[in-house]
Amino acid sequence: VSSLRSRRELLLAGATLPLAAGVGPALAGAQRGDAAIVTAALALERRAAITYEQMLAEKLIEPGLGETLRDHERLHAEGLVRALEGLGRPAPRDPGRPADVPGLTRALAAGRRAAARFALGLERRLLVGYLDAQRELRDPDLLLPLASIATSEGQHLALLRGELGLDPIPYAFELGRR
Amino acid sequence: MGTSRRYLLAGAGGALALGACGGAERPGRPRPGRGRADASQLNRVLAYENTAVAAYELGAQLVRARELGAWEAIADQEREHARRLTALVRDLGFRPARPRLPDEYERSFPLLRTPADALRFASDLEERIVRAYLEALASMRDPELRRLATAIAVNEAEHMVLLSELRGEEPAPDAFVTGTT
Repeated sequence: VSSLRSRRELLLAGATLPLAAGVGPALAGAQRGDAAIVTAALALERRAAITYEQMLAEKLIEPGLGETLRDHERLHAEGLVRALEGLGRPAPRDPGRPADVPGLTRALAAGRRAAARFALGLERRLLVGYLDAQRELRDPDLLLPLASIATSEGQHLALLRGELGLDPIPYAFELGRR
Repeated sequence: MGTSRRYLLAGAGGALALGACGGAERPGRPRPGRGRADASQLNRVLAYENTAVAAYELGAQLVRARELGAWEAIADQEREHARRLTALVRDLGFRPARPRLPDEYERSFPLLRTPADALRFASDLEERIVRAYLEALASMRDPELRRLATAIAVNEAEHMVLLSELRGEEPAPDAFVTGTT
């Protein structure tokens, strides 16, 4: 996945990220809150990317689907890193190891369905985080980019539910429910 | 088939222009300021939802039997969105955008003759609806409404997956789902 494509997609998403230099105390406080939201999302995106990578490595997901989902999560993470930089915050170190994803090893050991259910749970958590962000973000320029990631996670939910033989669109209002 | 994507979008735009005409303030129950801005955004997306309901009702006569289950499931969810948005606009003290007559919508839609026409038109509409919700977010004052609008946009993005699968296309080609204008 090229970072060039990632940058282009983030621009398409309407990201015009604020610069940290020269902001007043009130805005700086708002940026701290926004940075915490973005940091939490980044950590979860990285866990999701690792999850799909491991599912692919252990042949627990159809390759085309697994690669799409993994690549999307990586692109989301790249976008969030840039958002953090725009807020004047350094991005946390990439965890990079399956052991950093709580519950992953056990889910992978339990087989294909358990792994897909685990991924579904991660996608739900991601979605809930992005929905809550719409309520909590102070910087209006972050609303659209993060919402455009939420819509992507919704598509992942539909695909994973389909893989599990579940109704892919059970809710008219997708709030990340089980 | 012969209907181009641009033509399909032009048709949808005409329908949306029709739908967006409603939504004036309801006499006797004004909510100036914050409520007015939110009601305006809600009415804008409601016009899209009303158009989608009409499009799915029309398209139900065209799609194949094997496509009808997913089609009707999506249509039901569009109706739920429209009902919820209508109630929210009323709660804010404003008049909700009302749906037009089916004939009016049909005249403004592109010519839909085949299942493929219906599926493509629905896909284009869903993309426009996603974009409308995302664009509305920055203007919405009530944080809870922003959360709800995003939850609906996510559902519309899910519809795009189903419709792409029915069309034999890649279901989730983009990591950032912004819709189209």
